[in-house]
Amino acid sequence: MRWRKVRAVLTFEFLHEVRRWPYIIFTFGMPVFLLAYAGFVGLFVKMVATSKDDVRIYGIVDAPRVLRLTGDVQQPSADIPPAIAEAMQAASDRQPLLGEVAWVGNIVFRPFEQESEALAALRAQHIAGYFSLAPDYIESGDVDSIVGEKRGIRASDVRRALTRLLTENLMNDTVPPDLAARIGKPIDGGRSLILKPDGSLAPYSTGARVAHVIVPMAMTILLFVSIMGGGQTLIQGTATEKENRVVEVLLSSANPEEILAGKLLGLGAAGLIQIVVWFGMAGIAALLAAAALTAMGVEIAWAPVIMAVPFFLAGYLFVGSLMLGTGSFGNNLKEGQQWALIWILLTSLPMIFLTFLLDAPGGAIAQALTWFPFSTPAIVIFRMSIPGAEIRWWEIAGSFLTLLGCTWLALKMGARLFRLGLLMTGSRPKLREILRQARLKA
Amino acid sequence: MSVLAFSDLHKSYGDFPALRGVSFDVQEGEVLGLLGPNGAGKTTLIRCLMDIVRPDSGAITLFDRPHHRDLLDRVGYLPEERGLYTKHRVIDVLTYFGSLKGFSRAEARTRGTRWLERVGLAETATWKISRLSKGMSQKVQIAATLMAEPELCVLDEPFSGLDPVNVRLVQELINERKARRLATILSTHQMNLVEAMCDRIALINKGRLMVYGTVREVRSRYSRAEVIVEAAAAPLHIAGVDEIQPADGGGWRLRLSPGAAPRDVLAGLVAAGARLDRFEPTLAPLEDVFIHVVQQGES
Repeated sequence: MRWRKVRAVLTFEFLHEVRRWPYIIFTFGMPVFLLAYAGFVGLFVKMVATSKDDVRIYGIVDAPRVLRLTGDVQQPSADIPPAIAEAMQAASDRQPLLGEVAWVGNIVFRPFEQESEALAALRAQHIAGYFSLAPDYIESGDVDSIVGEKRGIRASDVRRALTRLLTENLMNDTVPPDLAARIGKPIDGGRSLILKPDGSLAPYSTGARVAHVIVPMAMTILLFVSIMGGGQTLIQGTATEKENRVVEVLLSSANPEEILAGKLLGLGAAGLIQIVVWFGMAGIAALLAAAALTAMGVEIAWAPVIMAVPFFLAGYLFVGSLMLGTGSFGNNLKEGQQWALIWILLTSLPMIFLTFLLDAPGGAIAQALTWFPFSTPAIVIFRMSIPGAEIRWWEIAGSFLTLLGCTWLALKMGARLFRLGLLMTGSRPKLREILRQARLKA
Repeated sequence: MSVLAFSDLHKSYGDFPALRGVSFDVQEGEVLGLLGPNGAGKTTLIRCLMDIVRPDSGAITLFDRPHHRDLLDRVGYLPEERGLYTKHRVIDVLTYFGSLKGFSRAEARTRGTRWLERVGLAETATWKISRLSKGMSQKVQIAATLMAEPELCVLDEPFSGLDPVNVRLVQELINERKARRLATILSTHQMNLVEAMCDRIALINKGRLMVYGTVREVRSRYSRAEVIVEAAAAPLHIAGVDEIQPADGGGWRLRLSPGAAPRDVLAGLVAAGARLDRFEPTLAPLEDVFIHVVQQGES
């Protein structure tokens, strides 16, 4: 293989890729988009939380006289998890946001003597809806709910609030008030701790729990997206060359191995920049939000961030060479993708098994997928970024070496298929010919 | 000096023999016409030269050395099935093709710019390829092929899609190469251009080399024994002439007897007192040679 030829292809492919608007937007826009998305969601939550005017009034028609309300009763629809409250306080150096968060207490229950009165109030839009307890409620438990069309979609939190109100009131005459309150809310605090790898106990807040799921998921998805994106770009480039009939000119100046290597390295470098930008921006964001993350008990694992680079490169070269090899059989992008579908499916395994992996990051599926070269990069980074998930050093090193070996084989096989694919126009290769070409002996 | 020699080249695709013992050479500074009907094996032969496919047997000698991939940097190739990257700028594509031939990007860019000027497309350097007309695109491809000034160049149907002015331009470019002792293989079905530009031809049919030699030799070989005569009066029947007919462009067509030489017929006419304005032994047009050889192959 002649390096100057590889370099010529590499430079061309790299410069073309990084100058494309979709690449620039995807690389720099993705983190900005995610930040903007998070900001939008946060803003939305804050707007909802601080909207003092958004008090929803629901009527209660209490035929069996269970509640015996004499006037409006305010009832919280949900509780703020303590960890969220801590994080909100830590993040705010001014007046704590907590006081402003009032999805607590913005539901009001208003008693009506007759259902006709409640219905009239609903029609006049004085109330968002009403609940009517059946006369035999104690025996049957029947509660009719009638809501206005606009409010219907938000009725589930109102039912929860009503349930709590009923629970407390049903026990008023039979159990002491403090016990009734406790039955209504059996868990209302306490510590949550996690056993660290060094044997010590550390606070394990809800925020940390969420972060421990989101961070590995985000890293796995980013790695997966990068590898698949690189592979797709390779197929697209080759399909374009076949469609534009540039292939024969290329083959007269460089051999298929040199073209394949140049394409893989050029687009791989572009993909690596993407990975560095994404993970780098995530790292910077983590550093900037260190105070809030620490308050939530979130520890950023830097090892997987660093290891993402070599695993991305090996995984990309492995999948990319196979996708490029078989993808080159297609005469256009669609056909190329069809030929490469099997590799796409195999590489998607971590995504398919994500739920199982989250449940058992050190389980049998995770361990098996660690050694399966198509899923090795995503799974190793996933397992490394989950605190407490037991991935041993020899698993990391061994799976990486296996991946490297498979990458070498894939490069050889991919180059042979690539040669065959490039010369084929308008016809489909026979399976026998593909297998003959794929054999490593000349 | 021979820049290229094919020696007993064989290549089959499955059971189909594409090349059957093809042997010929190309000399320094010559323009060789590579002719043959569609499917004759021309493209396979060129692909063997460019190392795109490997021959089953036989040898290729390039620049007096056994064929090797590295030598192909000295060979330019304009394939019949050709195109360009439509979303790229013209100068970027030329720079890429130049760098693939071993030039630095700066050198490739300089050469690309120079060759765009040479083919009259200097203003299109920063255009996207998709903006070019078919003829412009064709000239950019020719520039991309010739910008490395290869010692041997294979041009497969370089005139297709060009107007007469641009056909003349490409002829000039080929003639310039010839003047600089650079060899060119010209594959085309435009026989008038082959007659005008080529020194020798190699005609392939069904994978075999059927005809090989200088254009004049080949035309003579396939010409009927006839002379065209223009004279004040109809020439007399003299020895060595079997038949006299009016010629298409005026004058008379004299069919000679087997074994009769044109010079003896000329001497006979002069001796008979004919006042001649023109006496021209006829040469068969290459197109007739082509059709004759191909039809012979069919039968």
